[in-house]
Amino acid sequence: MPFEYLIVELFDRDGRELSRRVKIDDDFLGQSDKHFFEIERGTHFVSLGPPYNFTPEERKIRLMDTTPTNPRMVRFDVV
Amino acid sequence: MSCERVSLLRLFALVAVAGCATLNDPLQTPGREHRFPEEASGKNTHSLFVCLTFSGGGTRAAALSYGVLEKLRDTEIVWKDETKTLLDEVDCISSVSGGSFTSAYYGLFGDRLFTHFRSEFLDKNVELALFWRLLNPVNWFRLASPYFSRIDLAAEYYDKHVFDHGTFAALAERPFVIINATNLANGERFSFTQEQFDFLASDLGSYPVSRAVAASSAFPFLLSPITLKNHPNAPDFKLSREYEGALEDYDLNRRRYYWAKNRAMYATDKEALPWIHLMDGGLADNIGLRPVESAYRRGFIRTAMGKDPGIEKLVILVVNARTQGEDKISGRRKSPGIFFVANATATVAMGNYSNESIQVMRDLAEAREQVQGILTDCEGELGECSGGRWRELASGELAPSVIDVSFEAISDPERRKYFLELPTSFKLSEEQVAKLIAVGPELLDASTDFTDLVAALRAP
Repeated sequence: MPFEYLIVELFDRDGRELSRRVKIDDDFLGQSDKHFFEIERGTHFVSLGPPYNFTPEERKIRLMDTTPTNPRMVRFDVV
Repeated sequence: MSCERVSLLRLFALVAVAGCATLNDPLQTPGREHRFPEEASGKNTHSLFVCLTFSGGGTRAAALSYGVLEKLRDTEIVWKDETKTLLDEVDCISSVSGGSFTSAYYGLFGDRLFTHFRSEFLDKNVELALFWRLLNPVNWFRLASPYFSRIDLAAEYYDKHVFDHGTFAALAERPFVIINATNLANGERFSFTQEQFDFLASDLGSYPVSRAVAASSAFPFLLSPITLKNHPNAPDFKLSREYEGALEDYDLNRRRYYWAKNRAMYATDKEALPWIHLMDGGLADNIGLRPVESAYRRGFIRTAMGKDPGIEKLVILVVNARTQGEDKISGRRKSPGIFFVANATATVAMGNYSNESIQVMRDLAEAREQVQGILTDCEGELGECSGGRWRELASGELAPSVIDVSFEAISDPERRKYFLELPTSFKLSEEQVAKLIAVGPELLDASTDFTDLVAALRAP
């Protein structure tokens, strides 16, 4: 596959999933609870849009060996 | 000091000053920058995303791409309940060499292309005009300077007689025009965008479009390179996250690694690269498709796919004016002479791998359709397995379409031979130009990829 696949999740303190814009490297590429992402194999920086009330601030990932039906999961939590 | 010596010194000083080519300015206070615009405007929408690529090939390429633009202007479509032309929806044009004259002219002057470009460029004997400039004794003094050469004479001509002194700040936001040259030092593509110029700490807005087109069409040996200065980085310069990550990908994704390295090196290796010498874009990529492929993998097309609403239909139209001259050496045992070898060395590489590049883009489009198909087929099961956490792919059901226009698709063998044997030059006859302008629309009408696209865009 020319691309890899990624799901980004944000949960509040009660474990409920929240909706937030997802930033991969320098651009917002979709919504956390709505989309999963098709991006190039390699090293990427994943974060979320405002409000900046989540942890960690950013995740650096090496994205590889995924498929559309078996994407990488990246999690953020509200502080 | 004698009077004669003083006069000579004055004369040399005058020559040194007169024979200096325009250089690129350092970064200014941000004004309108030549970057892909975030929002669509006017009749253009993001949801129908159309990118054109115009190949090299002198006036032959300029005329073929001009004819294609006429066809797109005359092709009516209905998109999102609005009637418009396919040309209204063109978001970007990536061009090389001869094709850059058409793209740059359209970017600067819009529909004036269709009333003036033919008389101002296509029907002109540009080679003769440049030759007369070379014969002008005033220019001999300028050419004596090490900082002024044949390409600068050509750029001056284009600036005055074709592009009306236009700079990149005057280019329309859409279509976003990408003019491509080749860095002579490493053979890598160099695109005239502000993103590329950021690495040179330079302002593209003030740079004459004519000089970029001259660089893009600086045919080896006949013309000399265009030189750019690599200015010192601003104190707050930082590589973006995309480049930061990509530069760690040598083992993981070599393609992404070298894409980042070959662009960021201008910023990270200033001492080794104080000057950049650019020549014909065809040396790196003669169909201008690589910037579009890059934009799809990781650039402005990928970003547009992530918007809401994203891209619903992606169209990439490759206009390839490649020819196939008569093979004059394979029928003889005797090896070709040094001049033939020199010419072949300069030109054979251009057009190499063009078909491979087009196939790579088609493979990317098919891979996307495959993934979308898998997800649609498995949607029910995936939703259950993931406890309802399943999502849709960003930019959902993207319908990609790669269309290519080339002389090889002409069915009549004699007509095909006629076009495949047209010379690469900047002096074609009016008859040759007229035939080239006419064949682009014919090739599109004969392309099932194009007719299917138009039918889909006209469907109620």
